[in-house]
Amino acid sequence: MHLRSLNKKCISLLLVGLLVCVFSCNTTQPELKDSVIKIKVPAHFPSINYPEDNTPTNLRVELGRLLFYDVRLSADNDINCATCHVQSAAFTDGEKISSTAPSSKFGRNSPTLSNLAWAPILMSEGGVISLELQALAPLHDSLEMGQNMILALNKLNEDPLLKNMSKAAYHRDSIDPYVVTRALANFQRTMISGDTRYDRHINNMTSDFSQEELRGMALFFSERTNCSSCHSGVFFTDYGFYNIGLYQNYDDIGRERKTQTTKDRGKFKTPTLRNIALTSPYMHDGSFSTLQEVIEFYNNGGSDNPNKDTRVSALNLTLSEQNDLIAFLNTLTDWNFVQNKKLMPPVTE
Amino acid sequence: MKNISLIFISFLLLASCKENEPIIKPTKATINITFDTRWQDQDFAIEQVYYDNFNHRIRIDKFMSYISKLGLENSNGNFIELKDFYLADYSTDPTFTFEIDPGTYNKLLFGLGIPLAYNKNQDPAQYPSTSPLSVSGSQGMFWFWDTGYIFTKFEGKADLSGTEGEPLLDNFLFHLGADTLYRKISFTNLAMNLQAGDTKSLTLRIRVDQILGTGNSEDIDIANENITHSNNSIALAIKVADNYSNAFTLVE
Repeated sequence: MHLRSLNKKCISLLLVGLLVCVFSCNTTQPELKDSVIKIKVPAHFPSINYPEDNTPTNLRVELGRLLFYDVRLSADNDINCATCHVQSAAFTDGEKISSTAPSSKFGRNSPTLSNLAWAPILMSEGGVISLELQALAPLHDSLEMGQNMILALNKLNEDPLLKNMSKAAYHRDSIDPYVVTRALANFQRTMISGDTRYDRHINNMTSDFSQEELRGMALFFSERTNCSSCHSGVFFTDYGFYNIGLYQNYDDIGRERKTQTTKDRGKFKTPTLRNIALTSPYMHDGSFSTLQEVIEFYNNGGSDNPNKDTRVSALNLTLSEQNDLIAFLNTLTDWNFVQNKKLMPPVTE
Repeated sequence: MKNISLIFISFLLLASCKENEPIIKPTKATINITFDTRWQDQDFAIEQVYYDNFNHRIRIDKFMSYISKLGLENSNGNFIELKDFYLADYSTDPTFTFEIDPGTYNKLLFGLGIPLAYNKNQDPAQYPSTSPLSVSGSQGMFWFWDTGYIFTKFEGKADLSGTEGEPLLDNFLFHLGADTLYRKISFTNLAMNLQAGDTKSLTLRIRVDQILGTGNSEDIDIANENITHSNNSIALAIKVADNYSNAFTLVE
């Protein structure tokens, strides 16, 4: 009699357990389907070499976008990547030094994020060789997101949607450093900017360059200014490291921080000039507020510095020529890029 | 009731079977390796105040280091890897136990730091979280702005005023992490002949005080040499790396 009663209880418990299981199965996220996508690249750009383990798919890119705008990646849930990389400012933040690191010796002007898919080297001193590795840097930097990634992952793994996307995109049961770094890199490789008036001009799509802009372009690509010897190619950078004589003595030692050779003191990676009109202030420390100031600096030839590149010397440009150069630089703005809905926070699309 | 009796009998049968099982002779030998930190002739402890060679009162607050490719070389010259990577936190003295084939072993080998192939431009996100090389497993022993592992962190405070009783307010920080700072350690006179079933214990003794020198030209005076992130003061980093590698002795 006692055993029969026990059996009944067991059967009841079993039924309850089954119901709970069925119920919980019904509440899991639906299975997401991922598919390979082809990222549109301007015809005059080279093709992108994707890492074997991080070719673009719709879910990878979307997961990267969600993470890019997710404040849970920061220690206090108050900043995300877009805090220092605002789309309307070509993914810079308009600050001299990003507000997350105002007083640091190594706080720097926020770099623009565009065409990173082709960047062979990252960070101003060139210490990182891939976007996947770069994603770790701001997350752990106390001057930026300031958080051990593991703490961020604990927060992100409470989000069933992100977990589901992670599984479908990267076949991982949870969001781990591999997923975060790959997804962020995948999204950032979609930040392609190659649709400016300059691009249309060189591709013979339009002929609306003003005389001022044409003169500025000629100056830019001339040996007289040497601008294009560093700001070269379709990306307007040679990814090299140069001391331009911004200071006689640099507080921020630049590439020397990595190489520890004094000949690299004050050298910084050549920034792209694409969208330059939107990315003020300028230089590694945001010391120039306007393009006029930048051109004046180069026109004067910079400060004396033993490491200064020999190509930087007084240009003797007239004021009119300086204005021509600025007019040309203004043609490098890609309005479609800064208004591209696919790069905006997901909620605003 | 009958069912219960049957189950009871089955248990008895199973138990008796076990008694008749043949004794399995061990086919492996066991080796225990302990990392034993000392300050001169005392046990070393994190946050304990000691005197260095310059009579400064100092305290080590953090001492962590990667041990790589720990293994033995047998009499045939073959290297048998016991542990690929281990992040030692010297706030404790860890002991490892390994099962190895019987035989004669002549050398104990390991590296301090991370060897070239696993260091620069390697991605810690590629490793599972259980690995000491992973993002979480590396416990801050990684430079993300200049991709690479921090081989050793040796940090603390000192009192350079020389006044007994004064608080220790002067920081020192040695972070080693460059390919040139990887150090290979080998103890070549083991002559350890292990039979199956044998257990051998080895102690790797580290004289933590000798990281700051042994009273010769390699001494580090914290008053003058107190910070290196390796590249920014490579000469000091080399000195620390060399002193650290020379601070090991093998006790059988």
